[in-house]
Amino acid sequence: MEAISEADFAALLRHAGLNPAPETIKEMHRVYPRLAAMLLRNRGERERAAEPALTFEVLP
Amino acid sequence: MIPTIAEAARQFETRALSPVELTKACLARIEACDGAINAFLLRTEERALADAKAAEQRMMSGARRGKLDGIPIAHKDIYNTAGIRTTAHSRLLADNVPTQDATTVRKLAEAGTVMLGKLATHEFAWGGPSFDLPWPPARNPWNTDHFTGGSSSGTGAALAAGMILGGTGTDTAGSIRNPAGLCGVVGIKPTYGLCSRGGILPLAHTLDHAGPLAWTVEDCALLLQAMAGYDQADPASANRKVPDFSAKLGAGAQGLRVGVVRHFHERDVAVSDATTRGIEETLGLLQGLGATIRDVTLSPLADYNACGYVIMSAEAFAIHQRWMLTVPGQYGALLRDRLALGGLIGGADYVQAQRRRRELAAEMKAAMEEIDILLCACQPGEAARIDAAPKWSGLETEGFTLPFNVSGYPAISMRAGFGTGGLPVSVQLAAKPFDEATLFQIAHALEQASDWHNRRPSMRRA
Amino acid sequence: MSEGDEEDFRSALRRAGITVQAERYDVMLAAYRDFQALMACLDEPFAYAVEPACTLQLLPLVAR
Repeated sequence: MEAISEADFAALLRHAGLNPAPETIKEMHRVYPRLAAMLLRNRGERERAAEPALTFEVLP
Repeated sequence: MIPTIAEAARQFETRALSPVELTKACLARIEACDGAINAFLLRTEERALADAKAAEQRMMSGARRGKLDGIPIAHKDIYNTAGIRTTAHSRLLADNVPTQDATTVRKLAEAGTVMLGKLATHEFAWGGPSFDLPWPPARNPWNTDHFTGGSSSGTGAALAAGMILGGTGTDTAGSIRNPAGLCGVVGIKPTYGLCSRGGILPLAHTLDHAGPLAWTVEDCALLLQAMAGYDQADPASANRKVPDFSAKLGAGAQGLRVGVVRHFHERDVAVSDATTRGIEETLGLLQGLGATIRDVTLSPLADYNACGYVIMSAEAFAIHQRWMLTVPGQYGALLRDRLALGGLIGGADYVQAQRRRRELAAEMKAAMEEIDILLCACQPGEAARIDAAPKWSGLETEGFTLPFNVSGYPAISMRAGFGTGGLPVSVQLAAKPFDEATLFQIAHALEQASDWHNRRPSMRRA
Repeated sequence: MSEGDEEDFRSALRRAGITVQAERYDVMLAAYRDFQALMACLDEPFAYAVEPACTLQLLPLVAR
């Protein structure tokens, strides 16, 4: 996953409806690569049809 | 000295102690100690004394309800309590008074327990320790300059300080096992679906578990017995018969097959010497008890952490989205920032994490086919100073507890000695789904074979 | 939806690693805006503890 600029990161936050203070954006941008690495790790390689752990119950 | 639940039950039986006397002793202990510990957000003295008197009357009239009748406990403040403020340790719910008890609160009350009050948590079970909330964070009774672990922080602290005999917690990524381990008590995260989460404020729906903490393994088994069972109010509740969790207490560990996940603490995440020693001493005790030990390899801890952290963050943001968009300033900074990162996780990212989760759960199932119990580290070491607890703990280091939230398998944390700072260290044991009875069996055998549970904190400040 | 959201749209595309062909850009931007409106429809005032329809089903993983 490519590194994300602080401007793109702030845009992502706005996309989620969030507007933190500039210093908070800076701090979150600093730790974001760790989350991005997790996202990448979860992608892994698997069968296209591999099911998630969740199931939908029609009549819970 | 406050007795254990089992001891108190025996003393009630012989009339050597009464529920009212015990409740008054707990209230006095809270009055004396909690100024330094901050375990309670709300004390319910009148309710406690009324509960205790009712229990005493039942005993006098031969209508005792069981071993929990007359036992003083308290609830983590994300368990709804009818007519009693339930805040999630947050400004956002500072005036929230539920109209109904959580299912587990009701069940524990029906078992005859005495409610002493509501206990500190991390804000909404994720944001802590925080100093910008309406109430201070709980402190570790072994050294009040140190962190309790969380998020069931008040429960761990109140138990270690001898203010309560048992308490409730919730565990989404380790929130029962971490405070239990760092405060030197016992805490079990049961199998996903065993205890209803109905009426408990959620953090992440597919990872949240309810469970008890207590001073001993036997006490945890007694509390879980009352808490477990199917509940329509929880869509993930397992519709199964609840077994007798105390049935195998005293059966020892002879012949039990234990798998040690060494790479978690030897390769994946560094642990203290005291933690390594605690794990090795525990293995030595198990061998002495006749258990067989073998090494087990799972995926790296980072894989479990990535899966669990992404799911937790995304689900938590969804739950808090409205408030995060409208009143973000009402949260403490720590929770607000952690939640905000969850808002950046895309739908596909979430589904990938849930796909990974199925793989990891299947891996754990396969690894446990020829063993009864998994053993691994619970925390890297003793509790950190409360002012040095990391803000981005789940991101910057992997936790040892999350694998069992990801898989849903039951796991217990228990003492394994003490570190150089005099605070407890712990180990974690896990069993197959719905096999809590075997988990209690082996944990009880270990507890009986060691003397770590005989040491109580002296409530010192460094 | 404000005009300023175009920057967010571009950013989201970069983040997802998606390239939109130039001739499709305007259509996709409009769709993005519609999609944002759709998402807003989901933002009902749920009670805090309302569960999603999907649940983790542990039972298929348990040997019966």
